[in-house]
Amino acid sequence: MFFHLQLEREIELQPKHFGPRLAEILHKKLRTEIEGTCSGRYGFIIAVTDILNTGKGTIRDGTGSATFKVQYMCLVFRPFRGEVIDCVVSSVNKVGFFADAGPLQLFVSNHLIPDDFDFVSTDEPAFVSADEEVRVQAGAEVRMRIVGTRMDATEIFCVGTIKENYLGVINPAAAAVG
Amino acid sequence: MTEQQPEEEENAAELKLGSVFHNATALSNSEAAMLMNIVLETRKQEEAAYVPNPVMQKTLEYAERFSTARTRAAAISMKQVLVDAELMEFEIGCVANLMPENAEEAKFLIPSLDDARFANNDEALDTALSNVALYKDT
Repeated sequence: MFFHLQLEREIELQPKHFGPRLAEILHKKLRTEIEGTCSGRYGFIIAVTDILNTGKGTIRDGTGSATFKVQYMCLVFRPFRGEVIDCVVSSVNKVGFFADAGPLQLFVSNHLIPDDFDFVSTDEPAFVSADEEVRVQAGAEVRMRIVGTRMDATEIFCVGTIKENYLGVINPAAAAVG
Repeated sequence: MTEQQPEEEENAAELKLGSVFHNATALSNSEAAMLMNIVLETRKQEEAAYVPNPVMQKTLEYAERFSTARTRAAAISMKQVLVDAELMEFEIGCVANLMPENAEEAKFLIPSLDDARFANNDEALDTALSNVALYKDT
């Protein structure tokens, strides 16, 4: 799920930046430091959307640099256990498949795929339903429920299931152009 | 790498989102895509050569691919229907993303909906869902 969060961060600026463009440089430094990063606590930080307040910089003893407590709004993407989410399958093998939801990677083990699906490894590896109507293969859009999340300081990884009603392939992979 | 233990067990099905997110503003894929596009526009105006980082690019493609409202007006209308139906922030985001067709599907996909508000009132939920569906892809 995406969230619009208000966060705060201390940014340090060297004296060479103290000048008319200080606010702009502070803004750019914040963006470079956190955009694209991931934390277990806040999720993937996608973009800084607004700077609310930079306050007055405090000069650190011993160095000439100043630290600013910057308050800002940002867009984050943070998965939760129990959440149902749509993803795109990226690769399939006999123990399960990997899928992507934006910056997040998820894995669905073959134990959490309905029993009537079999792994088929001819040209395009896929899990195929008994009636051959449904194929879980790279490029397919799949709806899954997150059953576990592994968060550490800088990474998030999720495990999902499609072994429930209303879950599974919602859009097949685009047909190959032959 | 040490693993951070969540302070309490997080579980979206019970709306246990932890202290950071329990009052946070949730955004559907449609709203997130629109926000990212606004940010990109603004940055390109400041610096014509601006190129978004790979994470933002990938995330924008994902949000656009799974958007359900195509215009800002539609996204706002969908959200209003669900606010009026007394859904919580996180539930509103889930309904807007998943577009369940009826109360049964909604309660299954979003278990927190199966509480005192809608336990004996599928009708109210069905009405809200069909009103939301009016704005899909508009």
